Amino acid sequence: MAARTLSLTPPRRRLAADSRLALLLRSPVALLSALVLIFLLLVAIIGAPLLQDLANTQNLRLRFFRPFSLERGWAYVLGADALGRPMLAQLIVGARTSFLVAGATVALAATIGTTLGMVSGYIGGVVDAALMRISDIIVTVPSLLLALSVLFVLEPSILNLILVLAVARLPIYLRVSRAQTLEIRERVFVEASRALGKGTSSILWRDIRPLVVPTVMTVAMLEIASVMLAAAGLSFLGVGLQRPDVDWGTIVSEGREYLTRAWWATVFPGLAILVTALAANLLSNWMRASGDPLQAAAMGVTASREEAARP
Amino acid sequence: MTTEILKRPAGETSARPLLSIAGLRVRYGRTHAVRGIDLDIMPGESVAILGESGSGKSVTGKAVMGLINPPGKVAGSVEFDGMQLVGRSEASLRAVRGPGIAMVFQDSLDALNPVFSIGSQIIEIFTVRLSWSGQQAREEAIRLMLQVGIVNPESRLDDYPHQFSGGMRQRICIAMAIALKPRLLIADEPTTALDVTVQAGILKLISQLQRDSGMALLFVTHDLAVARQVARKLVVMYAGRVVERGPIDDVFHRPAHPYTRALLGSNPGSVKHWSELKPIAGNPPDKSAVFTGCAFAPRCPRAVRMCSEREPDFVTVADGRQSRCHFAQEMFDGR
Amino acid sequence: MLKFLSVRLTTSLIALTGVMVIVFFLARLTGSPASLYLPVDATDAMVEAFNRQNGLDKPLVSQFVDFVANALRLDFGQSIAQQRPAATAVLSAMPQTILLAAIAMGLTLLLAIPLGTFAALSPNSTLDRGITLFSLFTASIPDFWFALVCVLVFSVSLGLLPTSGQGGLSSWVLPVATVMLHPVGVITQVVRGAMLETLNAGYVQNARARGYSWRRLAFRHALRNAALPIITVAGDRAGGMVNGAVIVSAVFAWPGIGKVLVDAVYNRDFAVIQAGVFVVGIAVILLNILVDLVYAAADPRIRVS
Repeated sequence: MAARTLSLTPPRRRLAADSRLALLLRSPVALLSALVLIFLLLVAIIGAPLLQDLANTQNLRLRFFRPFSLERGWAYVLGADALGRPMLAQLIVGARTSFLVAGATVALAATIGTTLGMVSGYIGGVVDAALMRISDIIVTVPSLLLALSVLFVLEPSILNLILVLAVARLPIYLRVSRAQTLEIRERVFVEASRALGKGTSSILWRDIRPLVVPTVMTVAMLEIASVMLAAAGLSFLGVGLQRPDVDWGTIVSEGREYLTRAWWATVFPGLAILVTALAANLLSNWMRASGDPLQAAAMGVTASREEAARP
Repeated sequence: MTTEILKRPAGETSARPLLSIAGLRVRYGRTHAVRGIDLDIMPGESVAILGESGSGKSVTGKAVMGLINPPGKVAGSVEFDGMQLVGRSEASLRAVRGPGIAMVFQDSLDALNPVFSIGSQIIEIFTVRLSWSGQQAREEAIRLMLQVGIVNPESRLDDYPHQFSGGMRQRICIAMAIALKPRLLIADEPTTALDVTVQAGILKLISQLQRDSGMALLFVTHDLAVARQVARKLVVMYAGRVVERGPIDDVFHRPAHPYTRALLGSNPGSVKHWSELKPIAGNPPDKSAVFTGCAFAPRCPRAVRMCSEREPDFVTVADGRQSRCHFAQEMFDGR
Repeated sequence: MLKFLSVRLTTSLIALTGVMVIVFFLARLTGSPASLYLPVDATDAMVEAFNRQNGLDKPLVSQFVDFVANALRLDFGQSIAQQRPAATAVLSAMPQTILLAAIAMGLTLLLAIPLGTFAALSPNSTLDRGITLFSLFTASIPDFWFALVCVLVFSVSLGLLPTSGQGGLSSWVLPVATVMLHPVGVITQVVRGAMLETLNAGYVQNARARGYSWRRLAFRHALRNAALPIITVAGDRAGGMVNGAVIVSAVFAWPGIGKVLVDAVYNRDFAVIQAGVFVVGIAVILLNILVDLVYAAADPRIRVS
């Protein structure tokens, strides 16, 4: 009969991460999603500085230049907008802003939210109550309305957009990390650390953080898509970014004016958002499934249809 | 030695077995939960499957019911009353479940639906399976609850599972299992989650119901003392295989397999003083391991070289007594 | 249960008060609306008169005291743009939005529950993969862009549906579809996840051992238990439909709280912003209490304790 082992050290995640990478290589959809995201990211980082000037080059002779023609070179393959600016170049420049806003927002919200959530969950008491009420306040107001009124006050800028979105997304990380901290706090290895006289900050950093971070990462991946959609929505409503800053939402909003004359000015930037958000969602969905032992076991084996049909 | 003799211990050859398991295997990917077992149960017979956690005993019970979910795979043969159950469609298995084979699970809180009242869950059996009217089903539900020892059943029909004690909940699970008068009841560690005092009552109830109704019983447990209270025949499982079987009291007094003997030595109920308790050295084997010899050899005090090279066959050591050990006869003779 | 509800109500009201304080000062930060409502060459005297008329000349603190005192009587002042009480302007727009949200949520559940259930019934099958892809797809479409593309296809090209405004039944199709878009995807995923768990639960296996059909197992035994997380997320998303209403108002010029709020922000119509946030906040709180009640009805363990 196996002796029960009491784990006094936090479990290690190293092995899991390695086998996860192996699983990723075996899942075509997840792998494709990851490759699409990496490709778009590279295009945004490398392409945007190169195409910045071209994207802003107005050429009234090319107003509403139709897409799918190489007559004018690659930049115009997706057509041109109302001012004759090449759509493809605009999309690439817009990609950089969209990725920057989404990435920075998620990083900011995740870092602050997780830190607050861990402190809130571990310390409890007044701090916890106050943080939870603040999170309630943020959740009570529909996020779009909150962002709309704040951004209307502040000047439209990338930084302000990131700040507003980060505040609106804070409660998610706060709650996820708080809930998990509450659970980890009671585990044996944390109690052992406490008994050894470790300080609060040391326990939070060394014992709790390593276990909270993987969950937060999964949430953050899911949030990339949501934030990108939210940012685009705000730009579409005219309070997100304004020229010369441009993101995919801004381009949709500009194209909308000529919707019936030049569908491509609206459709392509929206498609860019859709593809990016879908890739991020597929990847995070896969991350969630592979993190769940029940589903991960099933992913390795393909069940026959008749067996699968059983409840 | 032919399989025919293996499957039919002498003295019980007259009638056809109610349940006949042959070469049953269950695996999950590379994990082998059951590695080929044979077992017959005669009508009205009570059999206990004994084994450590991970020995495949519970999986065997579920496989008989057809409750192995993908990615689990079942191979071999399970015949119930002459009907092959392995590979049968879910729809036709449904007819067997309930009136043919019924099951009681280990965790009664988990086994009852938390959002429906006890009454509605029992009544549902009759209205759905027998198309009875609500009134008739209600009366039968009350009668059943009385039968399993629930006091004031009428007043408790509308209560929810979490409002009952563990013992009462398990009684309700038993009532639901016997509702359709099954010919075979599979009880999967039904008392493991209960206090010892409550355990005895449940065991007595199962025994009594089995005797009164004449149904067969397959009782899965890790506790030999518990097995002795309800079963006549014992099957000992180790690493997905049957290692010993025979009449339970005979096996208890004269184990013919080193593993059974070790189990007896590690059983708190069988020794006079706790210092006599001898835990079995080593750990249960890895379920993904492939064995060339006897699976118990690494932990076996008697193991010799042959044990890890060649898997022993069943050896009949006495009437109705078989053991899968190269030294079965010596063990049986007490050498 | 009553104690739970009263605690819930109290914390919600504290949150709402916090929101009102923030909105009040935030709205003042947008600058005086005088510049928006008076001619460019307005004299200082005209601006002063405008401010006095709208109570904007007093110190911020005394404006706030007045605001709180009036808010307690549900008086949020006059809408500058609409020249009628702000509360009236907001409340008259609410039924439109509530109806839109109710229809959209009803259809969402009608679609998401079967989809999520069938996906969970055969995990990792082609059907499951297809449904998962569909749900992730709808959750990934920018809703404003979806609305525009629908206008392009169904209104401009095919001429089937009106582009804007609110007329007959057909004018509801695109707004409802736009508002539903994200909730359908998200709730299908939640249904699938919850059903995967409950279908593997002991009570479903036990019910299966009693010989019930898969329909009974899935739609009665498993779904009733999976209902709890579904209710939570559906409530959450119903509150979030105000976001959808904002988009719908921007694309389809659809009347409702979305349009009132967006117009108020652009017009610096403080009174309406405050009344709007208050009313929407109250609506969200009521919705949460409704969710708690449905939750209790669905789970006897909560109801009894």
